[in-house]
Amino acid sequence: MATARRVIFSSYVIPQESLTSESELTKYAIESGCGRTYGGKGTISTTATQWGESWTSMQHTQQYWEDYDSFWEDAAEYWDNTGITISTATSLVVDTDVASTPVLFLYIKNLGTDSDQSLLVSLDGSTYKIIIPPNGSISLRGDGTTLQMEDVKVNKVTSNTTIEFIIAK
Amino acid sequence: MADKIIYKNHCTPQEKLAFAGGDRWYLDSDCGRKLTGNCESKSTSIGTPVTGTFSSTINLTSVQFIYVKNTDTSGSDYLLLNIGSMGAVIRLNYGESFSGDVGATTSDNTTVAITASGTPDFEYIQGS
Repeated sequence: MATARRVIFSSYVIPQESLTSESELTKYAIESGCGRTYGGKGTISTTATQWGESWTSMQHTQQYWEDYDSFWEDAAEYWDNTGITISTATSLVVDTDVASTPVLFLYIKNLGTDSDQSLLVSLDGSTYKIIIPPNGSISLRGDGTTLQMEDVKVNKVTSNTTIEFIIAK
Repeated sequence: MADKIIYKNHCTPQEKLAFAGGDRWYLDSDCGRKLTGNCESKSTSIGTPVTGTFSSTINLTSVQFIYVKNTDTSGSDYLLLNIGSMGAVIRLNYGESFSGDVGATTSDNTTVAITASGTPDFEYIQGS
């Protein structure tokens, strides 16, 4: 059984500009005003005993309770990795016992691949101001007070999409 | 010239297991693997990178993409991001960054307010 948990997270940004050669070939290079790539990295210590089995979408439905205290490599059940379908406004945490628990770390990946499968994210439960393009993701550290479990919701923009996530206290 | 921004967000969840010979960190068994995303931003115009030391609230408008980093290398000073006045804020400790598209639709823009605890150094890039 885990005696501690942590998440190492990072982001990487590549600003680019298009350049058209005399032969009219278009190439992309690092945007001249930026001059380089950008990024950052951090580590968040999360709670060893999480708020419930749904703290990560990776917990597959075929998991047996008996396996929860065993090692991952000993569990024989498969996971089909289809993600969770988002067709309407959806709260990532439906457990009312932890509704007001601060979120220490949040990661959401949009598994959609088509251009109309962008995903909206709300950090206050009603206003959607973060958008994740297909195949994109976000990772963030909560401030320990204002971002709470009940605040994190997602919704589709146009077509249904699927997600995978981690939401940890 | 047209601009585009490629960005990736990655995480490695880990758990510590106790052994007689000492504790070890492993890939978290609840998650089972690392997670990563790789996409192109909806933003087609990249602003000039801004660096500095935090002294007062930075209010950005017409933002479609935002990258912000706390460029301190140690210490307890941190940045706070409030995207679109959502109320809940994102915290950036030293070395950490946030990158992502913002706005309510694939063509919309919004505001980003950067505040801080202490006076951390920062850098940010705004896409629009």
